[in-house]
Amino acid sequence: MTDRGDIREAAVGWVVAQTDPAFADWDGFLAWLEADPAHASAYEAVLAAGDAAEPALRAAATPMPAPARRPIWRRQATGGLLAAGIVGAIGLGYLNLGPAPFVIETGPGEHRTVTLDTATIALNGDTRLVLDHHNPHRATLDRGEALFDVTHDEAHPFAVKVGDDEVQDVGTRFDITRDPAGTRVAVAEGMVVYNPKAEAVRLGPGQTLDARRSAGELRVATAATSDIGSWREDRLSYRQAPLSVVAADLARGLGLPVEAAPDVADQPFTGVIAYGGDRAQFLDRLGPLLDVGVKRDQGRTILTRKADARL
Amino acid sequence: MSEGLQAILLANRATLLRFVAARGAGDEAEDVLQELWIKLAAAPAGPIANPLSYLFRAAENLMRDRHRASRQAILRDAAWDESHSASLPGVSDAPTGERVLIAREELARIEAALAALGDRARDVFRLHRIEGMAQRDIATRLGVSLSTVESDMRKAYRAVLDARERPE
Repeated sequence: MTDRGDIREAAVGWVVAQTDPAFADWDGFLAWLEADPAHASAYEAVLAAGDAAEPALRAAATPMPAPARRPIWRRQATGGLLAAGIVGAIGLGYLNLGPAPFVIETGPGEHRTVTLDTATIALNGDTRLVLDHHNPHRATLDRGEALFDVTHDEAHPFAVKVGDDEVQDVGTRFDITRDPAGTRVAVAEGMVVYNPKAEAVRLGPGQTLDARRSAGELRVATAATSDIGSWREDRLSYRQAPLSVVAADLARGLGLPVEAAPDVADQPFTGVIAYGGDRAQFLDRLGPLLDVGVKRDQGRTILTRKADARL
Repeated sequence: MSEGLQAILLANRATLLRFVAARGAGDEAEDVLQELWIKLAAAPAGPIANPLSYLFRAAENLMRDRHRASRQAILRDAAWDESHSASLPGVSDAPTGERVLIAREELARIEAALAALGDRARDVFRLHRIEGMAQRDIATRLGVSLSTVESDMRKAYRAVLDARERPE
């Protein structure tokens, strides 16, 4: 009989071994899991401990650079993500200082993650976000899409300004997109309030809000919470989304100019798109997947009504 | 389209099914494999050094996501129950009362445990958990050996497990 401490030690060993991208002893791992049901729960407890440690590790991150300097970003070797240690203490002293805005911008197809002590923000491609050194509870999304993971603080709610609108967190995890068509908000966990001083629309987990500039109305719909922010895994999920929105998401994520022609712009799409890898191959698959024709025009990819070439 | 990977999934279906079942998928083991299949169908084609290892890794990641989601769902349900007994109905799902106290105490214990680890081990753990760096890159960054990085990671996981298991 193996004793509990040994099981735990083995579980830690498997978790650490798997952090090596080249880990290949899956047969050994499977044999260990199957040897005793206690092994799987010990292993899961180690993973849960890793998750539980993250807030404390974020708080202990490297100090925020001085406001006068440009923030220095460090590119990570794996995943192409950028991790920035702009973390500082929240103190009342901060509130007496004037604003010290700084801009974080991504090019089309580029992803970045920014860690503040109040939130972790993942930026999708073609996105411009303005943060403030002196106010860690505010962000302005000028363009693009970002997933906000907010540490909720009753006294200092985190607010995101999007154009003339404001999204205020009452919870934890939400995604905001701003493009020429309008603003979209999707909540994965917790709750946010859209325009707390005007419409004050409350959105809970799995709810999305679509504020279209042309329509002048707010539409609230539902989405699977696991799909919200899934662009970070290069996966996009849609339920009855107009192709103009799909095209804008692809242009952002792929960094390729994909557009929906007016005759298909409102055509609805329901399904999952996974992208990445070979872009030419991906674009070739796009037509059949979205049930549209695909035209190439001076480097642009245009989604159009399907041509009935065979008739 | 990754027909190659899908063919390897088919050939190793029984083993992968055992794997996700052993990782706690229970009755949903078939569903997890189905999800894996769909992901592969959409994955871009490209050379993969060890396709079977790639499939295990993908299955492991799906199971991690599932376990994490169910842990968060449990927390959310607890918060929901409490917000309903709170004086302001439906205003906030922020955990209240006793739960906040427990969560804060646990966080404080974890913070203390990490602080006691020492700077290097804590840095290793942070680079691994928060910045998602591979062991080799962490070793290069900190100028230490791979085995030091591994032993620091073990130490850090043990410390957090202790902090969560044994309230002091």
